[in-house]
Amino acid sequence: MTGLTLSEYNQAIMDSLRPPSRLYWAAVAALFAAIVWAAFAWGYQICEGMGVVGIKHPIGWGTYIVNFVFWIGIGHAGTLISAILYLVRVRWRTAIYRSAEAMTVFAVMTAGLFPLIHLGRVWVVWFILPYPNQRHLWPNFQSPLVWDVVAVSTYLTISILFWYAGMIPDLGAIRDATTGRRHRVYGFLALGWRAEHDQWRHYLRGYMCLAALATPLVISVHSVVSFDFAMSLLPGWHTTIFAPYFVAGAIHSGLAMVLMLLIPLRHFLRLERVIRIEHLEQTALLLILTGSIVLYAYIMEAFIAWYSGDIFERQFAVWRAFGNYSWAYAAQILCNCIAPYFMFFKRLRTSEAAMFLVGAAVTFGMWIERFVIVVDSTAHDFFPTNWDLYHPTWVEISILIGAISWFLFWFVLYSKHLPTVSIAQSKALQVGEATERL
Amino acid sequence: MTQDAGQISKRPARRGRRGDSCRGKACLAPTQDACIVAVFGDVPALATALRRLKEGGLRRLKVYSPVGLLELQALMPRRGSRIRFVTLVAGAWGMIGAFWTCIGSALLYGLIVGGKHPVSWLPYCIIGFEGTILVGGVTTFIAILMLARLRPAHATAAYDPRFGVDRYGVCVSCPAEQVQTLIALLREAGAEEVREGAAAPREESA
Repeated sequence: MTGLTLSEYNQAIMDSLRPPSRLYWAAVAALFAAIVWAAFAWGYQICEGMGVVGIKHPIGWGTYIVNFVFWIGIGHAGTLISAILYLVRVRWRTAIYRSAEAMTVFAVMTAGLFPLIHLGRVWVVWFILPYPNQRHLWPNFQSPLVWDVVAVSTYLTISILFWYAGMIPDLGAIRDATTGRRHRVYGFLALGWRAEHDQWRHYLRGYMCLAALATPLVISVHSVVSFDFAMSLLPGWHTTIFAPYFVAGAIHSGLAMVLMLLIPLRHFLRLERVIRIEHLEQTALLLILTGSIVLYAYIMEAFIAWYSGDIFERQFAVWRAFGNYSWAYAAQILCNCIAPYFMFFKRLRTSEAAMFLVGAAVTFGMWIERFVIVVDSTAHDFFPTNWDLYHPTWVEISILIGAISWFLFWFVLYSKHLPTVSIAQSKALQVGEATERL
Repeated sequence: MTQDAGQISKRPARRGRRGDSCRGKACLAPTQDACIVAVFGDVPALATALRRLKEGGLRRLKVYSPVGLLELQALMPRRGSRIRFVTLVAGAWGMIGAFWTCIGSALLYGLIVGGKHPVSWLPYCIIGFEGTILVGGVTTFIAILMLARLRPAHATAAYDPRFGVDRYGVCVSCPAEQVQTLIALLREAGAEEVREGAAAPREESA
């Protein structure tokens, strides 16, 4: 229990929605400026062609695909916390799930940009959509790239609906506590919510159904993303371990991002009594679990390369560990597998600074891991004559920074305009104890 | 059955225009019926009131609460929801539609597949799965909106903003001659406040 009364929950969220300071708007403006710069870089790439980026034969997939996989992965922890932990009735999730869900939506929005940017000729993206046409031309549904489009667009749609559905009762409460224009806006978003039992009985069951649908979806999405690699024949990619490896890694990076977002958020919005250290501690403990799964995957990846007896797999595994990108391989092991184990110490996992640092290390490590996956295999395939190295240009780096800003821009806007903690579900925990005694 | 509840006639009260007590911009109960709103401070008091209303045969009521109280369903006039069935049917249609699109397009668009059958079931399972989730999820959301009657600018006269914070409410319709008995019953059950079905003016236009 938090010691908060039901009305104090409402008040805490209402306080967090007070008009923001100038510093807040300055941060929003800075993020927007970075987005504009990235848009300029993208425009430059569209005008000049793909020659302005570091992607060239044989490395056809560079930081754009790294970013795509990374941001899709970030979203996974949000769905884990909001849907999977909801189905298994984990109580500590209520304080953090709303922001984790928001993170999912914004991360998938960010990820969705990268296939478009990577495409080069973005104006022909509609070719991949299945639509009736006179020439009877259809996308090839056997292609992992088409699976990707279908999976990611489904994931974005369901994540937005699940996020919004969860907010409806809270928006109703905020509507009742506001006046004027804000009252009208929140009233519109609350869709006439009036806290009736007849609404609750449909709402709760519908929410449960959405959670039940989102759970297998989150597993499938990163599995499908992993198929982009695993369906090919390149050394390092053509492996059956990729689907669970990707899903575990995705949740690992997402949990780290949750820590990085929620630690400052609870201070800036003065939500320390609602989002408490215990909630962050549980997230940090989950980080140990997912870090261990990722470590197991790294070990198995190397073991399978040796055990397969395939000379291409073996040479690639050795090159990955000791070749040109060995720094990246070492960084991914240190950041993703070693850093989370600091959370075994109670003193560290109850320290916000330590949790933030570990979260930052894992987030960085998971981006590097995707770099290793995407770039290494294409840089070092079957033929020594094909081998090359990849160097991102200013265009790719600008777009990477712009993507981070784009994600933070939406998250910062969300944090001051929508309820960052579920009022209804937090209160339900307290009321649930009363009803259990009846 | 309590003494108070026993004083209430078990004759079913006359139903409103749409078979409901308080819906729309104002209470739609027929003019002979009164709409009583009681406010409770906790769940046990609410449960006691619901139990007594049920014993008294008063089933034309609405319950308001800041959280979902599915635990009290047995005391509510309506229970359950068809949403799960809607989700199941929509998911099945989504799967069928996705397979239909894949198979249909493979048969329409004659790719050269080297002697293999153009329809390739295994990869279509991924599209089929995503179709199941997409159509199932979107339909579930629409079903929530429709079944819970969620749409902007829809509020009831009995709604009180406190029901979204920390108070529980019951809005009961009963024949006008039984109003005093009903008020006494609700007060005895632990209601903090009992009034005839008007609400704070702002919520009527919300």
